[in-house]
Amino acid sequence: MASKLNLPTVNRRKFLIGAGVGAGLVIGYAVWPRDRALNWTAREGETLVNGWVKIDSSGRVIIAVPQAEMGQGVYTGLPQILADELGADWRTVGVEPAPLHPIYANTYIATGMAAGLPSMLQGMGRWALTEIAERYSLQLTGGSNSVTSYFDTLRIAGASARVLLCMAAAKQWGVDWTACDTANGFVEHQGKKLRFAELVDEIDPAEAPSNPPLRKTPRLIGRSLPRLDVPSKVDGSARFGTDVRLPNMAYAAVRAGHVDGPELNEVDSTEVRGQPGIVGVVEGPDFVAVVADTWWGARTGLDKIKATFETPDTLASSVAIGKALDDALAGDDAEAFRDENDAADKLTGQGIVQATYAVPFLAHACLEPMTATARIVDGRCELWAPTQSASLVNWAVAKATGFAESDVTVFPTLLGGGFGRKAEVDACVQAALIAQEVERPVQLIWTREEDTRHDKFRPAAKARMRAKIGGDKRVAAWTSRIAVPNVGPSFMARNLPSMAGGSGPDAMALEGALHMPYDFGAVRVEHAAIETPVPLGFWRSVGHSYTAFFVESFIDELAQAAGVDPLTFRLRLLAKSPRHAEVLRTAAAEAGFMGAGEDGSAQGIALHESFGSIVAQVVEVAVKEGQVQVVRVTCAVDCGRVVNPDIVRQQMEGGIIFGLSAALHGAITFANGVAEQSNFDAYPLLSMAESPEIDVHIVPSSETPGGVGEPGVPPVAPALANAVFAATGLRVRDLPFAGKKLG
Amino acid sequence: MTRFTVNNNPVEYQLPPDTPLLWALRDASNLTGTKYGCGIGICGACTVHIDGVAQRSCQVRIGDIEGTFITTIEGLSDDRSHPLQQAWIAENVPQCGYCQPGMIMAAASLLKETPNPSDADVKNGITNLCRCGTYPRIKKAVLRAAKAMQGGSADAVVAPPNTSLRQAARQVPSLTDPADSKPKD
Repeated sequence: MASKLNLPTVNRRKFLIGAGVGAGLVIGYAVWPRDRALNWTAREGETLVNGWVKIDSSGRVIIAVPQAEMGQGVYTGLPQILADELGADWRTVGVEPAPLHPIYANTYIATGMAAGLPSMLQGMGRWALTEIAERYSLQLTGGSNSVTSYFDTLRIAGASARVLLCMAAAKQWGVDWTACDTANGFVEHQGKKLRFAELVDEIDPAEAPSNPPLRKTPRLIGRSLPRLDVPSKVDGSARFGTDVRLPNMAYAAVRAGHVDGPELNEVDSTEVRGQPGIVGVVEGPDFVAVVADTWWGARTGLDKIKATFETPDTLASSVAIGKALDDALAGDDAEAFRDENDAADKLTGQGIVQATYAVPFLAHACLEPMTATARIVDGRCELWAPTQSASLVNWAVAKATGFAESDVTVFPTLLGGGFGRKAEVDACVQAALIAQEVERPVQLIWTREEDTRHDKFRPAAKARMRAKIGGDKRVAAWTSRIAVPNVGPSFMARNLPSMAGGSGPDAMALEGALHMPYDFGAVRVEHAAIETPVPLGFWRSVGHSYTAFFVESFIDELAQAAGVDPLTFRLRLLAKSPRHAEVLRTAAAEAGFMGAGEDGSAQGIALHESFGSIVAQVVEVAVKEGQVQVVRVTCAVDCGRVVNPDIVRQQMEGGIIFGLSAALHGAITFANGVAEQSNFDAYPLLSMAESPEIDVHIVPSSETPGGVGEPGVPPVAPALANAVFAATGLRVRDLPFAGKKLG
Repeated sequence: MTRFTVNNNPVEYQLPPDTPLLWALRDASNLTGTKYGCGIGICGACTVHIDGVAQRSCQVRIGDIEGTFITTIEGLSDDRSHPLQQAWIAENVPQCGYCQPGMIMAAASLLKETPNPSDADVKNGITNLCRCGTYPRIKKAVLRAAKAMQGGSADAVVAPPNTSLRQAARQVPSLTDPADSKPKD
């Protein structure tokens, strides 16, 4: 019953997690929070069993999900973990986005436990740890770690709820609760059965044991259960950020200045103010907005606004950035983050191979543009937004509007694509400021043009790779220098300014190039940082999106130089990495990997580990009249223990197409401080006609669950380049492929 | 003011005649299943049927469609029973889901023209964009729906919306309609 809301005083508990998820690992876990009342509420007829699950009087099971659903299936995968331990019937399970509260913190980020966590996130994690007592914990969806982060917590929460239900049933039956079990929404004991709905009134959360027994044999984990969000996504009823509707709501469109967001200077709105349907013109610190009765009215009104912005000191220019990258590659300011066995000194004599690679800036291009809906009511700000971090939005909106953080409520909606873009708070802050000024609820939707020009971009990068092939036709020495501006400090300066670090060399910029599965005789990996006025953001797979292209293209070049086929060459270097070798062999076997074929068709292969998962892909291409067609991609993935296999397949398919879209078409360029592309005519996305057949093979594993949202992206660009080389003998070292005549 | 029919309801919008149909549907009719993606007719997230033919609604002015019949995703079926919707669920197509209403409307129009499409018909006939990369599953779902429509029996894999608790409880043993249960002692 709802009255149990007032019972939040049970001590915070620590649970010992048994072997299999890291023997002896103790994680803090709150069934009920210690010093702040739980703010997840029960409606009439619902009972809060603990901070993660409610059961209602009809038997429906409602599970709190603190991560954003942006298509990666987190509204299914996370509840599936809890429902498995609980013994729920999947048909009765629903989800609610969790409110902001320390018990829902992303512990993986907040504790920085994981090896290989990007340094930026480690910094954020350290900060979150110190701040955790005083303020909200960080809820952030990113780094493909939803399952990794919440797996143990959700299992314990489900097991704890199961024990409470068993205890209540055991009392009625006069038996030992440990002899009871749950299945399909019932507690059972020797043929006796009681529905959860019949017991939930009787549970006593204070009796929850500190170490509930976990199931030895999963029932729901590992099955391709239907996604909970899918039915609403085939009939138009799913509510994305743009679909929020409030009484008396107006619509806004905005325009900002140069890419780095300079201050608004002067606005001439005489043609707009007072016109029919126009609610107002808002001059923000670095934007101008038109508010109208319809979004079309706002958008067309915006076209009639004349606005000037302060001219930045440095106008973003792709020519200048390209030169800065070249200078950084050639200069002396690179810092080595890995240096073993004097690799640089070994690059002498015979068998030296060198190549330089380049990738451009990229936009996220979520199909749902940036959007937020704000309402100021009774001295509070309510904000509905498709956000990857309600925490960051809460803090930023409070700061910008002057409301206390406790007077800003963020309601996360479904995301029409995220890919890292929606970890940013820009549109949310704008919406709140606009609503404050016009004193009406306002829905802000960016135009596609604004969304592209004011993205926080995947940075351009260049790499100079050098290696020596030894007499054994293996790699005796490997050096790489990667020139790229830092994403981390750029993100932090906007979103967590108190934490922003310097923009000098950083290991995070090398993620994916620093720790490779291959056994090289000697290794040196350097980062050469550059400054850029272009705001940078997390773009699906972040640094891996370029390091995989550099490393896996160059490996192929080394195989060619050594005269060994690309598969065998890699396998010889993977003797100490059996998981990687198995993934690579699986992809090759399933694809029937042959390398070059006939009539311009050929296959290329690549292997990359990111976010705790290992992915290998074989790309088959047909090159006709100088144009490349991607025919088929075969993908093998080892992502550790799998919660929902079909969601893993979906994410691999999606990652492959996302990566191909970038490799074939993606490039943002800047001139005079402005992005030169603004819509899908100039920044094309992969079409269905261009989309390959995709086969995904999951390599069975009982390792810790890894991520799946991002790891499908990195290998496809190098596998494609390697396939094109096999087909044509032409090595493409700079992306995208668009505009290149291949033979 | 121009008049036309949306999902079988006559409408007369108090909006300028150059307003794109997309924004009339979304902001005046609150039919938010039809999405804005690009505004230049490329992405297809705004696809609706005008007199049964799929069109980018961001490129159609309401002043130009007097007397037409508009169908949006909300009007394709009122219970997700259209074979395409069922096939979409069976093939687990959506990821973020934002493009999917437009995709389904494009596919419905395609199947009207080409009831028995080839792989290539589907791949070339649907030009809508999906950023999540659901294309392989969309193709499978369209072919599956085509087959179902030819054979007359669609998949029925999820309960329709607005299923009552009583109806659900008949299917799912662990559910109970509290109105049915006897008061406890």
